[in-house]
This record gives sequence, structure tokens and C-alpha cells, in this order.
Amino acid sequence: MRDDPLSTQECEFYQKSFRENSRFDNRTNLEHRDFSVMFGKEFGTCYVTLGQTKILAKVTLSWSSTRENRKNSGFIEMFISKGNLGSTKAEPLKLEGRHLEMLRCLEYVIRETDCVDVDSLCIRINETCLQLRIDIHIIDDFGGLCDAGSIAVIGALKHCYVPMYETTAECDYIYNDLYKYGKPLTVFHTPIATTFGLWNDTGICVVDPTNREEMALDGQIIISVNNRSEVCGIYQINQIDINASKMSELVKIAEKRTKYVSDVLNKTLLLDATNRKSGVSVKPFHSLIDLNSVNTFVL
Amino acid sequence: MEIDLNRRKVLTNLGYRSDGIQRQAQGSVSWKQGLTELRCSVFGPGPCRNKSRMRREEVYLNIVVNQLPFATRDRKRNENTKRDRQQKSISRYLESVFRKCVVTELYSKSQIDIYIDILLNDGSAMAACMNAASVALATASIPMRYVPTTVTVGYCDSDYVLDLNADEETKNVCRLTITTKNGTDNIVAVDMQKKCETNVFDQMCKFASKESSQIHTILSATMLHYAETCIGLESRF
Repeated sequence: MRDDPLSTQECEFYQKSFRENSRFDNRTNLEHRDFSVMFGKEFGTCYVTLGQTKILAKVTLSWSSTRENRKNSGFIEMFISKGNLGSTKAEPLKLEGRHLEMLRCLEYVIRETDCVDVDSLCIRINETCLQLRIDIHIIDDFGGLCDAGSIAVIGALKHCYVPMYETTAECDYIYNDLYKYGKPLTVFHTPIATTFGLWNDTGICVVDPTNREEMALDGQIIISVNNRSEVCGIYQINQIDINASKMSELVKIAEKRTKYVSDVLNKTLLLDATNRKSGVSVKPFHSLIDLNSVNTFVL
Repeated sequence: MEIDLNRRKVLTNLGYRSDGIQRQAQGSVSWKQGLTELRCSVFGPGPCRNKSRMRREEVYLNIVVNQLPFATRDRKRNENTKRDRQQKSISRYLESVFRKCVVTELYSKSQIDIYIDILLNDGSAMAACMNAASVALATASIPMRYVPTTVTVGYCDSDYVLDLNADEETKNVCRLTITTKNGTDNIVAVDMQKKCETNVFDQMCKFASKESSQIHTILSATMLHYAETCIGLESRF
């Protein structure tokens, strides 16, 4: 099944709200939705809510053999799964167009711009390495998948610990206790994606559109900027028609958003580290059931 | 049957072409940009073969990009080229531009096939495929709203370079492929590889928009030359 098609009245309603710079959830055209970041009990798990979009990312390091074309480095694999939790119209094993777009965008930004030090994941040249596997679970889908997905993946990578290994002439030893023996994964920079919806006829640009607003717009452009003011990737969905100077304005908006998101992410990581060090028990993810107090029952 | 070579091409009532020349493709071009060489063929507009992809008010664009095994210096096996990541990104890039560029209201429930074979890949393959496809669509007499002009810009050693080749692409150089409308400032497609600073990115966008008028001159001259010699239109310039 697919999403419900956008009716003409709904489309005109959204376009009128774009023209009047006042969206239906009380935002202007250049405002983002609120987001929150939560880290799990296991290392390398990160849960991000952006408005009503909920994404869980998990990073796992496992022992593997090296690839043929790159003998002295590990490799990154990325998988996206969307279950039936968020929508009754979702088919279990099929990636729809928007989720496939999200996977392409995130995979390019993480893999091609040297976000993670994959050379240090090699144990023996041409024989064994550590494989970095990133699983992204889309729990609820209300638009802004690339934004929330990039925050979740970067948070999971920064939260991840590499297991300590020891190499001798005969064999390799890999120790299991991550917190005692492991070291953090080397992350060079943090690219954060920002989605801009474009309405080509009027030249209106909308920041962080929801899934219904995406249907009323002509196309989207996703700009990934890292915390060192570098443009890491530009991904285009459907048709765009934009000026070069307008593109500069969009890059500046994405740059400001990246600084804010990086600050929040670093504060959350520091808080999680101090909680673990001082022995405070880390809340598991099912405690998020407290958030909506009307529908929950906590004994 | 006798073939009248001077007969002009006409469109029937349904918008399909009919002429007496026995050629397989309705439009084709052989494009050579530096050492990058490719062939592009356009079939259609014809009836949709795959009914699930037929659209009521638009034409369905079937774009297949195939890089031959001897196109790069490292030979690639033939069974993997159809699932290659680069060819999928090129065909996706072409489709995002031509779905708006081609006047699709004239050919509802129809299909246009664009086949591109890359014979030699010496860098800037995406820009070459886009320019070749736009010329091939023009030779197929398919109406377009504008001429999509594609240019590749890089930033290397504090200088902006244009139309990179394969040796320059293997370096850690930021590359930006921009498609503009008729060589003007309006950007209709962007593709970026590697990362660069925001100031450099702004300058690269302006540089690409400025330099794409050169490519537009070449493209329009090619289309006009084909119109004069093959279709028989008189020159109005």
C-alpha cells in the first residue's frame, strides 16, 4: 500500500500556509521542529525524535574479512528497516521511495566524506578487519527522515566503542568488555542533514517539511553541513529550480542548524558519560512509554 | 518501397512520429567531450510497455545508462554494471531534470526510452551524459522547455577548475555538477562529491552558473546545425 494521496483542498491549504508564512503546526517557513536525543543502555544506540518522527539507530562492530579492493581498512554497511509500528499502510519488506532516498543520502554522507576512521578498524592487512554495521529503524514517519536519521547515526557513531584487540604472531585476541577495555570510535566530523522543501513557481523555500507538506511541494534539497562549516553533500529529490544566491542562503541556514544540533548532541553525550561514570542507572528505551501519560500505565 | 529522403518529419494526431527513413532510433547522438566518449539513443514517444509504470498525465522516462567494461582503465565485469551505483546515480540525475524539462503533457500514457552507452570514461561522465541526452532528445524532435546545460566544477589548490578529467577526479578534490536552464543562473539539478567549505561552495555555484553559458553555446549550435542539415529548416540568425 501507499500513502494516502494529497487531496486538492489539502494541497491548496498547505500552499496557502506557505504563502502566508504560517504553517499549520504554528511554525514559520524557516523554523525547524523540536528534536530530542536519547542514548540507550548498549553502546552505539541512539534514539531521536523530530516532531513526531522517531528513528532508532544502532551501530555494531563485528569481526570480518577485508574487502578485495581495500585491503588495509574496515568497511561500513548501512541498513534501514521500517516496521509496521508507525503506519498500517506499510509493507514489511519493501523500502518505499522516501526511505530509499533517506538511505542513499545518509549512506553517501557517512561513507564518502570520511566521517569515520575506517583505516583504524583494520586488524590484519588483507585478512581481518572490524566491520561497522549501522542499522536504522524508522519507528514513526512524519517527514524529515534525513534530518532525524543523520542525527541518530552521528549520535550512535559517537556513542560507539571499539573493542580492544591484541595481535600476536599466531592469533588475535578481541576482548569483550567494551566499557572497561574498549576505546571510542574515531569520528572525524559530524555532518547533519537539513531538508528544504522548494516550491518552484513562487520561489518559496520551506525548512523541515512534514510528510504531507512534502507532497504539496515540488521538490526537496537536502544539504549536509558539518560542524566545521563544510558542505558534505547535497541531495536532490524530485525537481528543483533555484538560484545560486538562494542556494547560498540555504547553506547558511543549514550551517546554523548544524551548530545547534552539534551542541545539543555533545551535551547529551557528556550527560550520558557522567551518568555512567557516577553509576546512575541508564534508562532503557521502554521507559519512553512515560512520555505520553494519557495512554500509558506504569506500575 | 521508395523512400523520400527529403520528406519532412511530421507528428501524427497521437503525437507519434512517422517518417520514411529506416532508422532504429528516433534520435541519436555520438558525444565526445575530451576523451570521454558515449553514445545516446532516444526511442519514442511510444506506447508504454510496462503498464504499471504508465502515468495518466505524464510521459514515463526510461533512462538506462550502461558503462561498457573497457570504459575505464580497470576492467569491470559486465554482469555488475547494471547494478552499479554510479550508473544508477547518473540515470536518477537525468530523470530528475528531464521530467520537468520535457513537455510531458503532450505525450500522456506514453514512454520515452533513453539509452546511454559510455564507451570511454575519462571523468565528468555525468555532465557528458546530460549534455548528450539533451541533444539526443532535440534530434528526436521532442519538445523541451529549456536546454539543460550541465557543467562540472572542481576546487583544487585554491583554484576553481572546470570539466575535470579522470586523473583529477581520483584526487581528493571537491566536485560539483550543476545543471542550469539555458546557461543562466537558475539551477535545476545539483550533485556534489567530497566536501568543501561553505565559502568555496558559494563561489563554485556562481562560477558554474557563469561558465555554463559556454556549454549552452555549444549545445544550441549543435542542435541548430542538426536542424539545418537534417530537418531542413532555414536559418533565422
